[in-house]
Amino acid sequence: MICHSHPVIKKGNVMLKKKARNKITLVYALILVPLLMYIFFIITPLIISVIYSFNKWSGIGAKQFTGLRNYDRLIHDKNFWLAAKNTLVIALYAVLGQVGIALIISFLMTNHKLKFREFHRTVIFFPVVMAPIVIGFIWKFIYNKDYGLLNALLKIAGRANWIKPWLDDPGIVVKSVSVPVIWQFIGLYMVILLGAVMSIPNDIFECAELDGANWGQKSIYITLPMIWDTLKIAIILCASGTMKIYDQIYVMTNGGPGRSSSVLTLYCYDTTFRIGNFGYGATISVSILLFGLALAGIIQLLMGRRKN
Amino acid sequence: MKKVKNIIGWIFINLPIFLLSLTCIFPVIWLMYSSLKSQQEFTLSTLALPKAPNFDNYIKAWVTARFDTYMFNTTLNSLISLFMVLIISFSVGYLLSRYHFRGRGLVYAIFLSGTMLPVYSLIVPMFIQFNKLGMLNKRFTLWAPYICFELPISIFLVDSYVKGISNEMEDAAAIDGAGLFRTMFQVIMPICRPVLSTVTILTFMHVWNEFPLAQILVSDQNLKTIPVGLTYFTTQYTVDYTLLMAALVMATVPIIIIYLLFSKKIMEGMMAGAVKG
Repeated sequence: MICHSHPVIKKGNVMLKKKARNKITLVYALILVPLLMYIFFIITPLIISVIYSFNKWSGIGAKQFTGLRNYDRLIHDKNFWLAAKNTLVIALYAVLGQVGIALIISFLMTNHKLKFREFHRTVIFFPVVMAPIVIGFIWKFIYNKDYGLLNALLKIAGRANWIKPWLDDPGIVVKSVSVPVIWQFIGLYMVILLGAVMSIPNDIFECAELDGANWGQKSIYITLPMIWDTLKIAIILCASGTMKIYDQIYVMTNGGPGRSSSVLTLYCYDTTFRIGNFGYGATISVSILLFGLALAGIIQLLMGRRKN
Repeated sequence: MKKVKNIIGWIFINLPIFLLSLTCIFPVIWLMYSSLKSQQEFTLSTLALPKAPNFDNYIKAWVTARFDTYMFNTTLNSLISLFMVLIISFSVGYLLSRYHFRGRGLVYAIFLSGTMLPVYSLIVPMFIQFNKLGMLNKRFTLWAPYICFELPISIFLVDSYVKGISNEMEDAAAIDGAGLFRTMFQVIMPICRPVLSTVTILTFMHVWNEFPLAQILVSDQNLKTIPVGLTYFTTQYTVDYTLLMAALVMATVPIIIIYLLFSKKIMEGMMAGAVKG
């Protein structure tokens, strides 16, 4: 009986092997096709941008290899450094504003006295899902000199002397455009930090309460150290996310008045598509990427050290 | 005395959050009721409620300002990207999670490297690439970039979800003689519904709101999307505030509806996407 069935098993084995080989080929194919598409549309442009950053090209005709000349120009370009400075200043405001306010909220959310927790969470997160373009327009209305919501509210509050041309004064415009950016993403960092706060075991808080710790002490000595790693991630995300800020400022001021609220992405867009200098635009693209990576590295270094 | 202290404490805790919530919701409400006013009424009093609410602005935006075209393009782009992202991210995420073939780590690294890249450092080279290939200004121009930008987070989400499903399902399917496709799409895909709905919502939101790529890769009036279309309202209709407001409301309503239905899922998805970095 056993002997008799042996060839059948063997035959089945070969078939199984063949089937398995077909399956592996299929698996490779199913992964390879999307992978190639991804490399073509995401990784190739990255390489192109590095190549073009070493060339002079105006969008038509042949490009001309110029070595490091674009980078030399970048280092001496006052407009670039103004845009870089504005971007970093906005990133700093964003970290302080978004993560700072989100941190305070997540402390408050651990307090028993807080009402309507779910409502607040849903409402504060709402601006995160709105289109940055729409946010830009809404704040343009809010800041409008004549018909703006802000100035109307100031009039009602009897503070007419505080009324300012919010987006037309070069002295305050960077602060003005930072507010919507901060406002839009408080909710995102609130949800991230709250996630970490919720995962702290409740008995730690109960122990502290038994020892007589109040809410402030619990926040500083328990909540803060327990969510430190998440806080670090939030700050990195926030800083590198702000490096990409574009839509809102494009709508609100388009970098104006003059160049006073220009940021790196806007400068890159203008250089490439308004002036038509593709090579130099690619150089700015590469610099945006490097700025983001450097910023993330610096924050990691700073906050990692303080932990010990 | 203690009672007074308690009340002050209660106000101290509740007031700041209440005010923040108010600033998050009031501008949107203001936008909505102002869009029902005429331009004249709006300039007379910025804050007042509309005396005779009407939908003239909506009709005007829809008919004369081409909002219908923008809406159609954005909807089509969203649906096609969504469909492709679901199929691709599910199969790649599933296979990466279940098959430990050679090169798997590299594939994963390539997909995840994309999450580090800001779109803005790719728009110039993408324009050059699309221009050379003659792929600017086509109906399909934005589909591939949109799909690719959504893949990393979607694959990551599917991969970590599938890791939590036990192998028994596949074993049972194999005994029943199901092939790879049937196992993937008829056995595992239904189990993955929660994570796929997260992918759906995130992708839809991102594609619906996307601006820079649409601005640069498409300049044909008939193919423009809502976010790009909105910027034309200010140049063409500089003074008509309430018309623009109506357009902004129409651009936002689908997002509001999805948010009200799925706010928990959206928060979960965004949190998972953010913290993995």
